[in-house]
Amino acid sequence: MGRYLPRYLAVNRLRLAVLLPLLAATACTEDAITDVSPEDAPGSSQPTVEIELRADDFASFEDTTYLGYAIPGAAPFSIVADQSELDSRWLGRFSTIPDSVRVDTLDVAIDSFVTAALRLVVDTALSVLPDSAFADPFSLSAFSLDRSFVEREATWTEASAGSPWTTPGGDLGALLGTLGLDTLTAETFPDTIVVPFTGNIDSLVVAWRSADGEPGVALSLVGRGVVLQISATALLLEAAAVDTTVSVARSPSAQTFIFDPPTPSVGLSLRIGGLPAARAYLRFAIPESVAGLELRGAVINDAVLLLRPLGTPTDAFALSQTTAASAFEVTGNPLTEGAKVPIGSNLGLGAQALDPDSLAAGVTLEFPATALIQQWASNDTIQFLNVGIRTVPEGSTLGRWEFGSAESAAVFQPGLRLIVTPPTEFELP
Amino acid sequence: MDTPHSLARNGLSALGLWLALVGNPVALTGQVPVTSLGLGVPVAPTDARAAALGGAGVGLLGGSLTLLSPSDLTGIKGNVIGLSFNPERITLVTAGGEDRAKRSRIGLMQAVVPVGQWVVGVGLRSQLDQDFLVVFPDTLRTSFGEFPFEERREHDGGISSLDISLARRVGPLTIGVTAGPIFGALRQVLSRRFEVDPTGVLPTLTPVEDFAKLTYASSRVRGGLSFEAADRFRLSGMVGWTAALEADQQETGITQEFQMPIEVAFGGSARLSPELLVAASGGWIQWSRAKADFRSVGVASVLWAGGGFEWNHLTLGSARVPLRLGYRFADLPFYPRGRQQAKETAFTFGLGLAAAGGRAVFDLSGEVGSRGDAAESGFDESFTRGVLTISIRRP
Repeated sequence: MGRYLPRYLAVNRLRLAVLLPLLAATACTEDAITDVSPEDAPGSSQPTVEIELRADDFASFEDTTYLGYAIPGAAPFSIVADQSELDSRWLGRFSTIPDSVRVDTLDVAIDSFVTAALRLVVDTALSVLPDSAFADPFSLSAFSLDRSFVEREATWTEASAGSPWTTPGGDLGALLGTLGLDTLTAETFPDTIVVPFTGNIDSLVVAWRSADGEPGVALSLVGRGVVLQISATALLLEAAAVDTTVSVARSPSAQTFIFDPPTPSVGLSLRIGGLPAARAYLRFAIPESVAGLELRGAVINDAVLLLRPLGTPTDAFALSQTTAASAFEVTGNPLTEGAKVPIGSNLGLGAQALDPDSLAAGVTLEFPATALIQQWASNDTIQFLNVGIRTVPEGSTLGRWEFGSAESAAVFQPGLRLIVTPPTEFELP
Repeated sequence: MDTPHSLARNGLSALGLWLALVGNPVALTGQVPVTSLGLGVPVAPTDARAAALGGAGVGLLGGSLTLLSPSDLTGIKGNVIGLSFNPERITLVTAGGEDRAKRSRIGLMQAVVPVGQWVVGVGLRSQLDQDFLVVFPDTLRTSFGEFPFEERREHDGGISSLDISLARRVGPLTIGVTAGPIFGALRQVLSRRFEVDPTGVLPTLTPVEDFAKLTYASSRVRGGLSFEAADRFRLSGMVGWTAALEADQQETGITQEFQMPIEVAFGGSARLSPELLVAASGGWIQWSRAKADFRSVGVASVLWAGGGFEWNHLTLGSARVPLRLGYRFADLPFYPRGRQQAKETAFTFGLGLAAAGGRAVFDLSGEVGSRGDAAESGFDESFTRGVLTISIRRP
């Protein structure tokens, strides 16, 4: 046999050309049979099913709300309001008032300040304005403050932490100027308004300059039912220098707005948004199986975190404009680590709209969480998942919304909606 | 004498004929592919010559690589190496209409070498085919929308044998024995792909991709006896025993044993004239031994038989072109539980072509047949199968 084998291996090229393509085709091939009903189709399968879990269905579910992630002093807007439900005033300070101005190519000392005014850029779309001209007084007034404030701490009752105003709403001093708004309506209200100062302007402004703007200025609105949302504020000055008048504009070096009543405290519900900004935190353990359906090890085709809105808040802090919210992974236990628990990546791309109309209608808020739940399903060592939900950007609205928590009735509880395919139990013949 | 060019030309023209044959299936009705039942559909590992004679590969004068009986090793003259390629096209009709599928396999690879008074054979053979692929649409209905998807269920695998055979002629008698492992693997795949919502309103669901792998292991012994008289008459018989087949699911570690059948086969052929040969074979396979091992299918023993004629009159150039015609039937061992055992029947035909002075032989066969009956066995397939055997011989 040994002497024959090399001869067979040394077959001529023609024989190789015939045999090799056939050897290459040794693997069985199969065309698909497509005209088969799912019920009759052979082979193992598992149905893909929809499961909704509410807090009570989890192995463990805890939640909480933390406040303070954005405060009025750091918000990109201010509110000045005169409502029965909400009084609000703007507080500001201008510490960068110059003592000289540039005229042509020369710095020239300012001899005096001739005029002063506050310029306000009003976001009329987000303001509450009268539909028709007011019969009652409608005006915006600027006052000197008699007491300094700390912008990150000031509230309606305190100028700074532990230091109450003499009069709630800020210790208003001299009236600096008033702008009558009686004739304006929602249709005619301009985007920019200017509140001119009266009296001894030079004395006032020089005093601010020498005191780094202390103690500051307050804006108060008279006009029942009106809310002005201000997106920018500036001090406009006209300064006399040598023989000319020069215009100078300065942004506030510190500003905030104070309001009454304060933002309601958080109860058993979950809260998102508002000022100070609130985040909802959830910590939960998904059950290993539900009604005999194995979740651990299953294919998670889709997962959505559900927050169910409670009714429209009856106070002045109901969300009134559409904003956005996103859910994010939390890298620690928010229940034990508190408000400063480190946050991880967002659960899904983009953010979900917080639309006050749909929230009022009870439409459930859904946050994609497929990647997070897939991670849990494929990793036996993961027991608890920690998730936070916040508005984006935080501090963009005074309004907030409340959502059901684990303590709420089942119909309002947060939960998960899963589209899941359990592991296939491939059968032996 | 054939030149390399003539060998190639003859081979290609024969291949063209064979492919045309495979492309014309006969449509019957059916429910599920028979390869999905039990351990699959038995594959008769015959060469094209025996296939064209109704599968009559036992005791076939002139030799056959089928070698169901190891004693038939001595019917093969000289050193031979060859293989058979078996494409198959099936047609089944479901409630929704007719459907077709194709599959192909290497049916056998065989080497035969005379060593002194002995003849040694080493062969690799397909035994059971478990391949199928079904693809169908469906829709997942949820509380927030409908998600059309396409599901694929695929079984890719089968069971084969490695046969090491030894035979010796003593006068007109030959005694032979074959032993070797039975082995195989089966990859089961489930895939579900959801359509993307063109409006972008609904989320895109993560597809399902799941699979498992089974391996099979067993061993088999066969003994055979042949009687041949002056190249005019040959009779052979075979008895075989296979150890229990162990199936091992790798992902779960689950194992299961399947009792394997005792098998008996007989056959013979006679040269009625220099140009006419008649052959017949038959056998019994005791699959009922495995009845208790299957939960979802019925199992029953198998009778099979077939026969045909070979007319050796035509020539192409200097080469003879034998024409063959036959018929065969075989019970199928596996059938849906609660139904009746099914039968496979086929008309067979083929031709041979010896090139390069008989050193390269092409045998082609075709089969047109059917398996099962929708009303009685729960499946019904028609099939068109080809066998191409190429062997290289050194006298």
